[in-house]
Amino acid sequence: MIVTAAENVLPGFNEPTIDAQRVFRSVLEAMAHPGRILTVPADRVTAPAGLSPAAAAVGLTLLDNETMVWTDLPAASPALAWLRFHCGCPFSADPGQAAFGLIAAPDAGLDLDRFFPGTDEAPEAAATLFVEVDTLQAGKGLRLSGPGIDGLQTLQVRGLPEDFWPVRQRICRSHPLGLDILLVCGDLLAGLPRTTIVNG
Amino acid sequence: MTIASNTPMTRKEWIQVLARADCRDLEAACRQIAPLPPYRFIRRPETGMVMVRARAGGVGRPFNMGEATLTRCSLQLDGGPSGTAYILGRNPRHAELAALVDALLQDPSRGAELMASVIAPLVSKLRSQRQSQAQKTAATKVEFFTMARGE
Repeated sequence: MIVTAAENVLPGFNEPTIDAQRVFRSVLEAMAHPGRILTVPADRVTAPAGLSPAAAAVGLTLLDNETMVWTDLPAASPALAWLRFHCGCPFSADPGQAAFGLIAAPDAGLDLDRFFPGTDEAPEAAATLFVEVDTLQAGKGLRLSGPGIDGLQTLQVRGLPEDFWPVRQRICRSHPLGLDILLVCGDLLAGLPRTTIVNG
Repeated sequence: MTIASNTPMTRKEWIQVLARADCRDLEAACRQIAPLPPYRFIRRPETGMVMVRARAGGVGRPFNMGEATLTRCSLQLDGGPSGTAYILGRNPRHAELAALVDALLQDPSRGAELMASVIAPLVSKLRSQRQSQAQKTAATKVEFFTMARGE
């Protein structure tokens, strides 16, 4: 247990066990069906300023005191204090050390190459990224294919830096190494495992 | 536990008193201050384990003494201060009441009154418990001495 001050921290899940299981289920769905847009049962969580309900719910579900996290949230933000209080997760200044990356404002400064893509012996040790985007909807835009997709899946994403897709593709080309990504927006969630091929 | 009786109690000290107090005493004290103000949970009472660390003789290198069961709770009074409790054992009601009283004590308008009506009786009860335990222990004390050393 990590002791953190409770001053001015918002509540987490209403029912920690059941809510976390429901959100975990939707994360599984999202990763099993890349690009499919799911609604996270995020009404059960009071998201702090700076985090979308989906990001907050997924954070509460996946982060704990054994997962090192890198985030671009400012050090004094209420969202960071909230995560520290409810998840007890340690934060690292070095993305390469992090099991999870929480990217609240993806901009040109985002360098995917700095995250750990795993090793040939332990590809599962690669980082998983939660990325907040401006819009996430089905329809013309990106064309996704690969395991978990029957033919072709389309996805519209706005709010990512220009080099995001080419850099991701280069990193994920060295299979089985790569980065697993969860795109979040409002209470929506879409999974993008490393095996998915994305064509703009 | 040492509690200075002259200086006003610090938050750390009253949290300690609330955590060590008997849950039934706490429940009775809270009935006195009814109606309890509305509050919401920041973290509902939950039970977990903590590693208790110690130092040999109080000065040696720290070592892991063993795990203890602990229940914690954080709540916030409506528009007011928040309170936190960490108690040994697995009594969620105890953690909730201790956190609630901790929050109420931080409210300047009722802190002093609660200090007298709730905390003071708990402190004196804990003191007398400790004293009677010390007396019982003292009664079983065995003095060892050596008649002659075989040198």
